[in-house]
Amino acid sequence: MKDEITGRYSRQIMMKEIGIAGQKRLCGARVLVAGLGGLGSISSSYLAAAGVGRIRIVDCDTVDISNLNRQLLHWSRDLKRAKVESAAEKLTELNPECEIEAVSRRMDAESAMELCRGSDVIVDATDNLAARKALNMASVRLKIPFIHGAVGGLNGMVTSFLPGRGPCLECLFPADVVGAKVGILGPTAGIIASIQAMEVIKIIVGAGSSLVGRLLYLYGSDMRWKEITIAKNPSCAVCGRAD
Amino acid sequence: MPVQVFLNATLRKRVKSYDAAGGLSISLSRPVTVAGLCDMLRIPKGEIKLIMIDGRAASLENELKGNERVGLFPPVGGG
Repeated sequence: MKDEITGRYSRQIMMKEIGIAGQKRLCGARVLVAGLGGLGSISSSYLAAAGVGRIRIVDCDTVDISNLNRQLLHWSRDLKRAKVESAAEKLTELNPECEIEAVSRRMDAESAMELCRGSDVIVDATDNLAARKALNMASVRLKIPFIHGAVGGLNGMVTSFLPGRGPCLECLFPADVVGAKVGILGPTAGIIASIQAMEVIKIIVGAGSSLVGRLLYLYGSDMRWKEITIAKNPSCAVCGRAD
Repeated sequence: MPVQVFLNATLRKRVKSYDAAGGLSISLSRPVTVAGLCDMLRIPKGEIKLIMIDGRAASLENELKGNERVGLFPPVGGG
């Protein structure tokens, strides 16, 4: 009991939303973080620090110098290293109690089901709509909560999709929008990724209510949030008949 | 009834003297798609990522008949 009060997780165990029961749930949880860029660096750090038992990190890229303004898990010494290798090292050092499974693989329609299977929550920290849609398909089919985040410049958005409750990503983005490479300020990714991590933790411990059916859109230029209600599309190609 | 159009983030710069509080009030003489609305406002369609009509996600092909609230958002697809 002493360790629980004075140890690594003590400041969150003292919260009524977490407690010892919630911490045990976190320690037994499995989370998939897809993408280890600006979003995934921050969300995976918070999840590891919070004591999520097993985190599967997936990314097929190597560290480029242009990543370092926002991708805080990768440092100057990591240039050209596989991002999953760089991230696994830091996350393990941050919390050796957290098991990190590093997978250097592209997230796409072929790999998503296999990579998502067995996870309690999926974190979307990817940078392209094709990967996001592959994760969404896996989320709906496997009935796994899916936390979506995206950033560009000073703007960002975040929402949670709970299969069987509300819309899915396809309801929100029915068209295949081709995204161009955009500028991103580090704190924009940090803000959105922090909310994603909080959503994951809340879902695992069963605290509060989630962002299901609501999308938070951040305008960083004048520091305002817009909350958009998003509804399930009854004729959605992915979740329309899934419930 | 006119369509109320709300531009978000960087899209606001596309329309001079845009009023963020009230949005734009656009009268339609005939139904028009969201793509047609963008043409009327001279907003490049490639700059739009998310379209909401009356709080529901929509696409450029959705038709507007009047009295709708349309929200247009720029891309935020990075990670």
